Amino acid sequence: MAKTEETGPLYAARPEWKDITPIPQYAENANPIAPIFYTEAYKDATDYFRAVVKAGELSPRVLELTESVIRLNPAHYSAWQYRYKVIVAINSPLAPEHALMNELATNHLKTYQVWHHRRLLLLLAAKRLSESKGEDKDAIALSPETELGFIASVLKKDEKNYHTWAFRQWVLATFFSPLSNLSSTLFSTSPMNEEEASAYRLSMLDDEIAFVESMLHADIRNNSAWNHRFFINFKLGTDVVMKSTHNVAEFDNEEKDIVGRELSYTKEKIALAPNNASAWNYIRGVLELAKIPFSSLTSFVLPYTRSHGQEADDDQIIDLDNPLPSSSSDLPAPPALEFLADIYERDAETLRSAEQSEQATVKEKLQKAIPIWRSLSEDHDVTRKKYWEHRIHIAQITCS
Amino acid sequence: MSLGSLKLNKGAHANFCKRFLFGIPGTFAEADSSRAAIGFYCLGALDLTELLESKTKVTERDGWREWIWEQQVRGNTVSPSSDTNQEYVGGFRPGPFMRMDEPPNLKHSDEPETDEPVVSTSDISTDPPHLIMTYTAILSLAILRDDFARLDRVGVRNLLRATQQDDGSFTATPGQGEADVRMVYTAFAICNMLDDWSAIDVEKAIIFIKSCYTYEGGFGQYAANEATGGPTYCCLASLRVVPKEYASQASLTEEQRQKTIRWLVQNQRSGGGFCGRTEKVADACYSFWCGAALKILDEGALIEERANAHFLYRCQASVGGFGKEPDDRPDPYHTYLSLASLALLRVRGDGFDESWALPRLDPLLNATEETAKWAREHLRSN
Ligand SMILES: [Zn+2]
Repeated sequence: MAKTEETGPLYAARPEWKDITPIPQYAENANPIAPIFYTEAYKDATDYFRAVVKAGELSPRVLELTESVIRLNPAHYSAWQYRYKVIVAINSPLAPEHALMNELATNHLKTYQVWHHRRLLLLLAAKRLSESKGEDKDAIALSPETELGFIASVLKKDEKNYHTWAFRQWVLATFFSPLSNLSSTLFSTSPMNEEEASAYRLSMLDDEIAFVESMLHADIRNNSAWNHRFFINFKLGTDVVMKSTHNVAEFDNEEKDIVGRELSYTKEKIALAPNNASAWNYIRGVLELAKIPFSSLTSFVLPYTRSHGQEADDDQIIDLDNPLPSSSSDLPAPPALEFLADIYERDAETLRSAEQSEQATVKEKLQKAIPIWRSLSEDHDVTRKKYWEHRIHIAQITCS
Repeated sequence: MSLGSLKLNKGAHANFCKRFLFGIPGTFAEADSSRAAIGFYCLGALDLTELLESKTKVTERDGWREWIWEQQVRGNTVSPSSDTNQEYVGGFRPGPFMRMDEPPNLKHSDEPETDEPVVSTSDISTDPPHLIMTYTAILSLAILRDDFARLDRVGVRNLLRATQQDDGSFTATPGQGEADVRMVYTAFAICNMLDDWSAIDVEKAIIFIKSCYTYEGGFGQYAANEATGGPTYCCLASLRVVPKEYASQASLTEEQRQKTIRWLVQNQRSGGGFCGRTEKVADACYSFWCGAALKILDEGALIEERANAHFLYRCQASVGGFGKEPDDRPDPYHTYLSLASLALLRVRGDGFDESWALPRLDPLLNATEETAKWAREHLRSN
């Protein structure tokens, strides 16, 4: 009996599939584009798959068949879609499906369909729970908390996987956001009142920050983790980004506290690795979001713009607001030089837009930025030579 | 490496892509649901190397055109459950992998002949047209200089309508699957070629695009996702192809624009290539996504194009084609995008000889200027 390692015997050789007449792939013309020399197993499984789809069969054995097709081609979106349709139609239990998905997701991290199917399963679990008033024990296995644990284990193996991070954000936005009409409390075994639910949600955000910190601890240059941190702090609880972009309201005290905490945290991380573009992009993002001028960080930035001599050393009094570069740092750090030049340029811009400013002081500020850009273009960041020359050029136009 | 010895191995790249057009090994079964896209990368690479006519026969090119037209569908109603919406959808499927009707020559001869365009009916819930594949199929037909007489424009418009979501985004197939900026871009590119935006809600789509802007200055695939080169290209190109009346809504603020430029420039690594995300290693495809994004912002001059070309030179495989990084296995996707990057970020002289001359590329549609012109002239609804 012909068989393949992954999917067992061919469907054509299985007596329980005798009632199905397989439908071979549509006969293509003489010059098809990129025809695939299908393996026997793939041809067999998809021939049977087309046949059951045409017949509209929604049954447990179709779950097995779609699994075979998916194992042979995880990007087969029709097989995924049909599989979901079967699950809904026959009210198939979700826990075993979820377990299978854990295996498939781990093997096919970069396939869109793997993650999309998971979303549908979680939404279906939530639906079944709300319809059964929490009685559907099978669906509880798909709790958002379990899901976050699974995603964390996947991210430990592939720390920057885009789909996985995007999926984590979706889980959080769907089940832990006050803006969503779904809540993870649907999955909890003991009922919560509104106050408890909100406290629980906040504690989850703390857990999430701790998770991001563990990821950044493993790799401080993991930009996906930095982005996630921004999402947790400024999008998930309240949409601070929206608030800032549209100037709809002042930041409340809690939001101001988060901004302060994030600035301190990022400075510490910059001190550990002064050339880490991810941390610099993050601190810039936080400052811009909170509309805090870059110049507020001048005394922090300066030690990073000089050559060696000002690194942290054990005998020094530690200034918590302005942590010094670690002793192993490669200084000056180009992102710090860029930041300092930006401070001067932004100050000049602020002066220029202020009514009674003098042209001379604007120029003075810009004149301080130009040599920094020049040092970047000639010494410290020659890859972006043209960009730094462009910045100098713009400043010179303003000065003349 | 001595200057004067650098060659862009166009002939080998063309041969590599031609081989894929003729067949893919069974171990790449995943290609089954994206054959029209693979066809586009291969035909696009032949177009860019200007070797399509000399490397392939007229009969082959005609056959490929016919094959693409075989993928045009005439699907049943958008929502079978509602009686009010009786519109059918058109567009193209990725290939015949879910096609279940009989080929025409097997049909009974007593069926009446019609003058209708040759489009097969399909059940869109099981064999749907696909937005990205529709975009790649149209561009492939333009590369093959088809006259588009057979294009079902109403069907394409209905597909656009059927795939747009309430938040302005688009799914790839009607009513199913994920929605993100890749599909927004392909929808916008199709509207641009048709010169017809009536089927979609442009304003909502622009709001969706802007929701994907991140604190770093790039765009993510979906709101709050990490900034990445591909989505950033999709968003910037989308914002640029809209008709004039949407130009002000589609423009970024000057601060946003500067931040985007900064982030894109930051992605060029010391080896000359581009990474797609902050602090990642260079990958050949981002030489296009980031390079074209800068071109779209009219800031192509900020790129060190010679360093970029050096990196791509190193990504060439001896068997032809480009891999994502030096010594990596080549594939049609990275081959096409590497050539497209070189066509945009042009290098000549000082070590880069005649072989580096490539036709000009339209950064918005991602096709040679001639092919883009052909597409726009022939798709425009009269
Ligand atoms: Zn790539």
